Amino acid sequence: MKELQDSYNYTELKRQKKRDQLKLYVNQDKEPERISDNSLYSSMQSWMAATTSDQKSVAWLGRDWMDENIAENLNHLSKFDWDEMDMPEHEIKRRWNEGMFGLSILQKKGWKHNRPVWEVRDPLAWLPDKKGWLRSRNFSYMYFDIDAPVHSLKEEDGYFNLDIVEEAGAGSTITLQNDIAQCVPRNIQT
Amino acid sequence: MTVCNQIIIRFEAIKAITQIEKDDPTEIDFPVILRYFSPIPNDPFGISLADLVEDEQMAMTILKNLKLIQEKDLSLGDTVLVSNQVKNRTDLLKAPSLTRRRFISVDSENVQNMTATIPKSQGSSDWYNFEQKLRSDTQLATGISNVQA
Repeated sequence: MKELQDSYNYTELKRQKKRDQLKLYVNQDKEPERISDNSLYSSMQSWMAATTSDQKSVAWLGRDWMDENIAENLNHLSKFDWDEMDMPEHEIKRRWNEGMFGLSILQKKGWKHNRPVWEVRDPLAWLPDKKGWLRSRNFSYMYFDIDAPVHSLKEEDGYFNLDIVEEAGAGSTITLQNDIAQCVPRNIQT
Repeated sequence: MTVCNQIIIRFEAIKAITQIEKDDPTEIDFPVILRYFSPIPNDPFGISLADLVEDEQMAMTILKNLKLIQEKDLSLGDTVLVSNQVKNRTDLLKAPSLTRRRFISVDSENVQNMTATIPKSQGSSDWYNFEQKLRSDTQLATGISNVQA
């Protein structure tokens, strides 16, 4: 598809650059007679700590003194919803992506048990409209390259054409290359 | 969702919620939030913290390792045999390591007069200042003042 090819051409050089930068974030593949500097790690930790403690939040306030209880309940409810959506964990992952790659992507996947389900997407697997910028509404399209085992795709979840999925062969290499780039500095197998 | 950009295996229409979206479906947003560290036009990722620190980190790594090599050389590998009584010539090719000296076997009891120090520069003495300059550049670029040494 032309959209995907355009997007791939637009992002691939930057994606490769970001993969290379992963080696600078604590390269655990040490050599005995060579020392490495960890400025990026230190900067990232300081930045994440500062932005987490300075995180913006919304607080409800009552207009009159009798509204205080309602406002307090709404604040508790908001905190409960935030935790129920696993947002504290998502925020850590999202911020790391933002510092390391310059961009973080949070996607609402749907609803489960009456709560919205959010997922942090890998920016290196993002294939955006090259004319879009800054806000998702400015993009005509955007794709995510994801790696999913066939057995996790079920008809009851809305998937179809599953009988011909296995015949499709190997897919994109974006996710595989991202995995390798993440694993090599940590000295672990992909 | 597609497999290999060819076979559609799932799709889901994003429903209009607000009246504006119902009147004009092009107003429906992707359920995606993008947050940039420092956005710049015509760049899918913008500037990242890694972009700001990368140069200084690589320079500091080189600087630290050069200093390490220099200190190692001064401590362990600063002499050379001038005798032709070396028993095993391949010993000369051994590199000194961080933890031990290089031993070379010779046909003589008295090795005192067979060695000479290689004259060499002591290197730049302001490397510490340069390292501090790199650190302050990193702090200026990122706005983070407590980057640990």
